[in-house]
Amino acid sequence: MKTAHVWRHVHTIPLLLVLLLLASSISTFGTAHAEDSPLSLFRANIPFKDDAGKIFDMRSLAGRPFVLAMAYTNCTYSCPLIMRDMKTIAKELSTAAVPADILVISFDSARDTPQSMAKFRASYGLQTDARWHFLVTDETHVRTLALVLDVRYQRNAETGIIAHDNKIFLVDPRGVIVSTLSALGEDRTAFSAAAKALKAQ
Amino acid sequence: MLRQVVTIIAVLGGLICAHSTATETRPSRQEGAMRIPRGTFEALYSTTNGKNIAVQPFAIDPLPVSNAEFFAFTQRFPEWRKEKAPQIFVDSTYLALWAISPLEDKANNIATASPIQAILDTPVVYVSWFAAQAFCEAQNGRLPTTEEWEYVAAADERKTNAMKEQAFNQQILLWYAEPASPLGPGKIAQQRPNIYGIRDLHGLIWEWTSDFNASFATADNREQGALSGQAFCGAAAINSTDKSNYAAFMRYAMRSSLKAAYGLSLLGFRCAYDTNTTEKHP
Repeated sequence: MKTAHVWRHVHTIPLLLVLLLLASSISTFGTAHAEDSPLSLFRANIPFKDDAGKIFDMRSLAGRPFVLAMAYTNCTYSCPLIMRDMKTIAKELSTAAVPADILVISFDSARDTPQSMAKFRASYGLQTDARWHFLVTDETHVRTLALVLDVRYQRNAETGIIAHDNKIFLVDPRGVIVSTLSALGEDRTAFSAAAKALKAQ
Repeated sequence: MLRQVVTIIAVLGGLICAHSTATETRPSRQEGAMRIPRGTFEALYSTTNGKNIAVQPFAIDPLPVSNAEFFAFTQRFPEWRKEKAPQIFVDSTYLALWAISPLEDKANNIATASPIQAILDTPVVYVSWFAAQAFCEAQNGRLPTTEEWEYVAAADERKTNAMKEQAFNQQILLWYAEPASPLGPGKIAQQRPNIYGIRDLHGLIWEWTSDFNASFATADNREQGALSGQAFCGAAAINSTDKSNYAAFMRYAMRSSLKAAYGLSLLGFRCAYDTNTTEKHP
């Protein structure tokens, strides 16, 4: 079967090796940095764009903690509540002098763009707050990120409404999730304590 | 002897993949995919209130991905080797049927697990969603959606929709009831192809889909843990359009119990392709 077929090409092995090396440099998730934890979100290597249309690499946050949630701008039900909780958390963190960035990542790769995210940012009065990042990516990477985070979502084919989990994550400077709020309005005692512990590190 | 066999396997594994990218004599995985025409489909769970959903044209592998093919992929992308894949993407069962071979070269630190010869032609199992998705992306593909998978899996040898045929369903259910072999699944391509030319959708393994965990019912969630709790047992079951389709029901139940990093003894995958980039007909 394949054997004879393949062995005819043995003389091209050096060339093939070069091709293999080239091919491996364009892998899906990229090659993780040596210092990354096996559980680091940085390993997902997702190509985000921010609300100014610039490429955003999550790894640029390495070295300081951040808070992350997924939402979308056409969402009229729970997303305003997620944003309310995120703003409260952001305020608490700055009061406690924890130098954390805040990431809002869109579920809606079909409709959200840097422009819609910029409008979303403005609607919460955060135009001048550089700690906040409003990010979009393509459908495959929305799915990948949601699965890494264990955030479930499903788009209604007719209405475009996306049913989703409402989770807020606290991520340490290595990209590892250290605390999760699984529901809106959940008690934040443990989450806040974990955030303050990160400051002490 | 074993050492030689394993060496040959390793070399072959590397070559099969290099071969398909470097020459034109062997079609790529994508070129071997079967084109599926546009159609409508009564999904067991749908977000369209029981109305048929439209499936856009796509292409899909005629066979599940084998251990040999997945080994070639891990040679090409070392970050997906059994020893290297990070915990965020795979659990501790990742490629559990593979073993570190005598190929191991401690001095050069190239120890790598590989499938023994007996399982080269069997579907790769104990692969996570992330590993499966990465494999498909490397072939310019993706995992099929649940709707695409169910759409082609509803066909038998003569009909595109055999889901109402008692014999067809009975056969699938009989397989579901069979205990799994500790040696893993049997060989690929031992069953007859369905009307689309696709094999092994039933009776060999379960398969990952891109949106495997998206079968919950309600829009917007404000209750604590509402989605995880009611995803299958409550509201979603009421939305089930065809209660006689117990086989499909089993598959949705199985999928909704998965997490993306899981590996299971009978869970493998095949890839799908958008047809705007696949112009060939089967």
